[in-house]
Amino acid sequence: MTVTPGVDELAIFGGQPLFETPRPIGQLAMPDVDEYLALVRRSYDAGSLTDGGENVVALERELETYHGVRNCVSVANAGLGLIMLIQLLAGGRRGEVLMPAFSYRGLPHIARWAGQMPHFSEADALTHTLDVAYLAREIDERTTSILAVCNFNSPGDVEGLCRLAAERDIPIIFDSVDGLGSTYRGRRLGPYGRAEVFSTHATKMLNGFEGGYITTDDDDLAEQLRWQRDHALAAGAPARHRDVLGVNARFNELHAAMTRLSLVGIDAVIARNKARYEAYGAICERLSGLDLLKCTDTAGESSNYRMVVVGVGPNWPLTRDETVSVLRAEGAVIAAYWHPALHLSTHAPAGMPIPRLPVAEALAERFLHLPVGELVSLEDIERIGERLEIVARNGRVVAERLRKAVPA
Amino acid sequence: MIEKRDLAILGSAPAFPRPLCVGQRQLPSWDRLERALRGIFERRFFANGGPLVRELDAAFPRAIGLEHGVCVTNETVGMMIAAKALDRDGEVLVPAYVPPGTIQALSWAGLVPVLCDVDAVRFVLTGEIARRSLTPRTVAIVGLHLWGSACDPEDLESVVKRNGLSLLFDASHALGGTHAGRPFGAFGDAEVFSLHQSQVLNGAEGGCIVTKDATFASRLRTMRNFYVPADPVPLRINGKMAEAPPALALLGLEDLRANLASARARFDRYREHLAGISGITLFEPGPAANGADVVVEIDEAAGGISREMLIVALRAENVVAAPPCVVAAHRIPYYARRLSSEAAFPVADRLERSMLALPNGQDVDSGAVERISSLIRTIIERADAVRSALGSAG
Repeated sequence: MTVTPGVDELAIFGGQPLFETPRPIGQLAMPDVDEYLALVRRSYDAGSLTDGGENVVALERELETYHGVRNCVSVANAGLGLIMLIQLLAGGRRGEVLMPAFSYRGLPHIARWAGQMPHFSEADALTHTLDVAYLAREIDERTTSILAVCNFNSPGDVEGLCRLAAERDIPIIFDSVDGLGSTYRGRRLGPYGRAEVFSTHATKMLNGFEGGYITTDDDDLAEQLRWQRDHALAAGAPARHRDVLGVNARFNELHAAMTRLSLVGIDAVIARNKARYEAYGAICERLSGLDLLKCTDTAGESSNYRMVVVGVGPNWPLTRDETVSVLRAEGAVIAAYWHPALHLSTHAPAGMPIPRLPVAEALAERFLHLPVGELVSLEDIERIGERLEIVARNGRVVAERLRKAVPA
Repeated sequence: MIEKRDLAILGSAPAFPRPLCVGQRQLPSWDRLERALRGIFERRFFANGGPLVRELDAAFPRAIGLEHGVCVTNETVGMMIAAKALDRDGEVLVPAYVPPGTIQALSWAGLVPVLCDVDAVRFVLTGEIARRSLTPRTVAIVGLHLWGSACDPEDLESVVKRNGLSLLFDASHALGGTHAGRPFGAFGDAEVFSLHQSQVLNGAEGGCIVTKDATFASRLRTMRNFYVPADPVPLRINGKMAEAPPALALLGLEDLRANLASARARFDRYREHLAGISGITLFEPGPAANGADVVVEIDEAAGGISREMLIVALRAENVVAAPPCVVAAHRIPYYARRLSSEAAFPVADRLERSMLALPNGQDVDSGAVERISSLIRTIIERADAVRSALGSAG
């Protein structure tokens, strides 16, 4: 084989990897350590690092202001928040939760902890969120709730989903983890549906180590959630709360202090995310076949630009999975984006009927993450772009060498 | 009568300038905590199986002479994961006097808790009670080492062995204690500990599942997150512990021996000073228990004062005694409506009405134990005056 300039530079073919330390896909924003210690010190001096201390209480008020909602209920993590809501909204019934098939793998587990079965639904080809028309056909007497997921690129047809839920009298909640800081029709996510759930995991928009919170304008629901997250004991329990199964989902002071500072810094994080997103966008403009998944930031909407996800088109010489392997060899800790579709994954309950969901299935084969977050500089992105250009310029050679290396 | 005024409820100044609360709340010196937290920022590794949680997974079981530990969000989540990991379907015997999260965890795991009233003397679910309560639908037993007192583990182990059942323990009150020469943590299929700040080891919030079984431990590790690829497991959850709680808990482990010794010393001192007060009986968890919980039973007929009055009278002294965080499960609204109306749990009911936890943490020195005990003695000696003061105040 002729030696093609550049190809041997690729780490997957033995070249020097781009990065000695991994470049992740998590946000990993880091507040100032001294400010963090000062906030923790207050709880420490009060002798209590959980059970609804000063930082948790303050954080909930600050998040209510940020999202413009009447109630924020902090929880130990977003998954627990979703489990609590699904259990509570099912009202003691065992049934099904309608959820997207093109989404993250925790979803079916979450429904089952809440005593429900997942019912996977089709994706909208444009926003990649729930297809409202398809969803309307799937609602039946087993449906106990709709769990919609707002994506980083689009919150989806929030109005259409809420209208459908209201018409059919099914509670709808939004997993808005990837939409934190983004807007729908000019208003920041937080007030939609019966409730929305956000994460304060370090890899997400607000670094609070680990944790989450629920936003809702429904005071009664918020009251039930507060009661539920601290074991739903008898004191002050109105009769209508009696199907609420309690749990420990308390947020602690060590995490709340961190989240408060991350909230202060969120606009600066979004600005840096946007710069990274635009740098990748410029690279994709130069490359044929890798398409940046664009945020719906037109018409006055804001996005958090937390993720950079690219689609592998027909002009790109490698498959999506080959592209992932090439970049991983360079020290980019990336993965395929939401692959496989949940109904085809090991995360679907064994033995359940497998629907045919062509849009979700096709989307799950198309995209990959690129490294983002505070550990990725604009210079890193330029260098990733250079490696991708080597792939683009020498497409056939790279593809052949990769495929030859795979034992038959 | 001038002596009346030596109680705050009768008009004297409070015995303590600051409230003394129930719960261990063991905190390392600020310098040590600061250093540990700075380390997290330096590594920039905040969650998802960082170095501190990996260290705690190993150090926690090692501290009690055991091998496999799986740290989780909190004890309730730990019990949810452990119960689901049994991969069984059916009924679980559980003491009717129990921390709420322990029974709730079984319901979250899709199991059906069956309440068993506890032994009238030892207050735990004994092997004998379990044997009486078995049905063809029973698949497991969950015991509670109440306030450090062993939940009849040998007999329960023989019950589950004979009947092919699983056995879990809520060991939240038991860390550092032993029973018949074996550490708590070593019994049943797994034992679940709490790292809530009220317990001996403070992680703010947190839990640790301890098991002798390496395969079971590996299943638990897979189940506590959505992402790590592995063989199929019954179900997954985000039950991960991030890096801040283990930063605190690892410091607590360094101090564990000293903290246990001081807890035990407080307990022994309470025993000495509470002796002979009518209507007050200290719960004795046994000589090898950690002594972290100081709980008394109030007999209103004998002492002339109700638990609620005692709480108010002590509160006036800045002694924040409180009913323990263990409840009669049939009184939890979710369970109350699922039980038949004939179901009766007289011992659990009695305990729910009569038990009182006394301040027992780091800030309660031996002088404070003596003072609190003497306040209780005085309140009971002046029961008539206290009652009328409370009556007139109300």
